[in-house]
Amino acid sequence: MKNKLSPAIVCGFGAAVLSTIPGVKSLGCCIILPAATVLSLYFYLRITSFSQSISVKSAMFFGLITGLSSALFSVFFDVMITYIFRNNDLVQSLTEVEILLNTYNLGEIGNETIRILKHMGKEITTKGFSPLYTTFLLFNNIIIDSIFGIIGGLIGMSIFNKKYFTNL
Amino acid sequence: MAIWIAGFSLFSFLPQDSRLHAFYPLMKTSYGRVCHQQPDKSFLINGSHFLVCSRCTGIYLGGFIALLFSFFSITKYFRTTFRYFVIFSLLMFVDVLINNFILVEYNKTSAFFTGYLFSFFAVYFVIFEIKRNNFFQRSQRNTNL
Repeated sequence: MKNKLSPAIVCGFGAAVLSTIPGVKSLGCCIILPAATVLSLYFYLRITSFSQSISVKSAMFFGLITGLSSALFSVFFDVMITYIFRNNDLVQSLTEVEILLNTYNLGEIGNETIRILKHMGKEITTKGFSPLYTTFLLFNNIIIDSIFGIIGGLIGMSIFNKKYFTNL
Repeated sequence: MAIWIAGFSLFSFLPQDSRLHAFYPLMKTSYGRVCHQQPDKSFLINGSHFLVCSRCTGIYLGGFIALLFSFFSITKYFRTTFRYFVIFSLLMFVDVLINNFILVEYNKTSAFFTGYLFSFFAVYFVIFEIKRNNFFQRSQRNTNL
């Protein structure tokens, strides 16, 4: 089981690294994670010597593990980078977001949103860590990466079953 | 899928005084996980940029349309889906290279349509393969019985 899951964890790690590099993200966009899952399925097939086709269930499971691995590693990298530089996307876009929110007449909700954002920004610039921001990032990444991982798993399953197991 | 598409385009169609604008920072960070969100590469509608770039807009829209199509028998005409999937994957890859390294100004239209076609045939290919696998598994089970 350990051997079977290692391609998913390694590819998830790779996807997390790639999504952290600024230039790569603008090229790969939303393709990085599904591509990582496709690659992990290929490695899995190589480990099992292409002995059996991939079922929908195992493709989704592989996608889920790759997505979870990518989410956890990317949050770890983000937290580390934020801690070192005491700066991140949230802090950089804070003024811009505040101006934007002020253009709409949101009343108390708008003021509260700005207050929360400023609080997170202050924590990041002073301590290098914001528990609220990290929690949000973790939940967000887990949900989105799992979905994209599962989509990648299904694409990978279709490609490899078509290529290697056409006469099922 | 429809909720996902509505999420990234929502702020372009909301009235100016809508309180949902308060969720903008949250949504921007969420979509930022899967897209670079560069304003010059995103569609601008009603003075507000979509939360994903034009290529991602095409990808999600193409996937959604393919899912809708899969409910109708019209899809039986796309038998050689794997070939289309490979062709449009390559086309999108070429477009990524051209738009980022050759063209000075980013072409949103080509990015949208290459993304759309890639996603449409990718999703259709996946649905077709799942149906085919189920068919073979069912027929194998019947032979065993």
